[in-house]
Amino acid sequence: MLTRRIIPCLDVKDGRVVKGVRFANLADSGDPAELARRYMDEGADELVFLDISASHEGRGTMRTWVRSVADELSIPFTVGGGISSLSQARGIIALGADKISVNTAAVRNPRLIAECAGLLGNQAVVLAVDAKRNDSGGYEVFTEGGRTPSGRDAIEWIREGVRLGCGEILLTSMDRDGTKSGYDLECLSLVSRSVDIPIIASGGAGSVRDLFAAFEAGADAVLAASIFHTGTHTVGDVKEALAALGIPVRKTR
Amino acid sequence: MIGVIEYGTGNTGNVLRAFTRIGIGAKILASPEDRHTMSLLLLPGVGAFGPAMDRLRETGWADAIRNWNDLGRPIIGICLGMQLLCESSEENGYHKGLGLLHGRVEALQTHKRLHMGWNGIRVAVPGHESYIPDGAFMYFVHGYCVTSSLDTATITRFEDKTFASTLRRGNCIGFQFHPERSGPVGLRLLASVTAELSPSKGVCGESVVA
Repeated sequence: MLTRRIIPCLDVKDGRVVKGVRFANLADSGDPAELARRYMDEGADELVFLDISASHEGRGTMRTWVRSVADELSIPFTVGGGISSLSQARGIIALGADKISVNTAAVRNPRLIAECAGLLGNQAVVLAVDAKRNDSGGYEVFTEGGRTPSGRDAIEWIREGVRLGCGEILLTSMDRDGTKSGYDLECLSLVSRSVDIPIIASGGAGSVRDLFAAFEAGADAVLAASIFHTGTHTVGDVKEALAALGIPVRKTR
Repeated sequence: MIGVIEYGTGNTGNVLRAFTRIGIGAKILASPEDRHTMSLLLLPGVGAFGPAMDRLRETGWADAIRNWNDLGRPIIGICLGMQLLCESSEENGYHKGLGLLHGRVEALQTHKRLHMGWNGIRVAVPGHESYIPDGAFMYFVHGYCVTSSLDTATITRFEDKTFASTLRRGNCIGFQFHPERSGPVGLRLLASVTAELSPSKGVCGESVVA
């Protein structure tokens, strides 16, 4: 039986992991490769790295850390954040990443999805969608890290992304992101019923119960940052708790 | 030395890294002529069947692989690489494969059209447990599969579909999943299958994974 995936997410700025990852006994808690190794050993099913560097110089570090992470990992990982061209995407895959995720650039130029899928395969293209609930009961796509409303309906955009060839949807609820109040289950359920590719739920995880609820709502995988980074839960603990609740997970211990 | 076949499709970097991690020498082979000194060939691959098969023909690899197999020499196919070793595929029309393994590649026809993530492999025919960990979880990414084959070694279930996750005929083995992306368990499988296919000890080097 296909297991549900647990995916820790790491934000990287200027080549360093930020957002307060706290691991005990870690020589360098900001080193992407070292943290990647730690999460893999804990039983993470995949990892997602988002480069949030604002400067050109910061982005320039990408080649170095993506290669280091690739050297360390024998599980799949995705790299996203500011990818705006096919050559950039191809470069990241060539360094050893399994998938790239596109967000703002894809909204501006949807053909980017088709180009990447055509060259790298559908499985390598993750469409990241930041969705925010609007007054009319729907969801609107936001770009540029959630700062800019795009005017696009999230469900329509996701359907278009699937038509263009993305292999997975990384769905982040702007309303819940960072709140630890649980994923937006309504949005998740709506998206999961609308497409036939895997959905990764993101934004709002605060407890194992939240992850469980996301799976029940139709998520194939869950992305979580703070609950793992603060050291409150290890990936292994979370998997054991989910298994006890009847969710099929890959056990690594 | 393991020769990883380079034919313009697929990411060979992670396959090389995997062998490096388990202490087995591996190198990229750009030309079929380079195969002769290898102890084992590995056919990777991502993307669509048709264009990949065309590339194998254009580069001369298709004939070289068949010739290699006729000599009884070992070859491993991974993901699309496994599918290319089969008889045919229906991905975007009918395409003939290399025909080293019995079976036709067909669409999964499951609710989710991509089988993506970690799933268990079950040894379906006794004898393969010696080098394949029965029940182990491996990482899969595919939309097409082989449902029925005389060469089935392991099976995997996704939704209501059961398909062959490992095929073996003689010294030719295909994995539908990615052992090189399946963590320590996958690396151990690569080591054990390499040993299984190279009975003359020392040819591929010692391999131990913690």
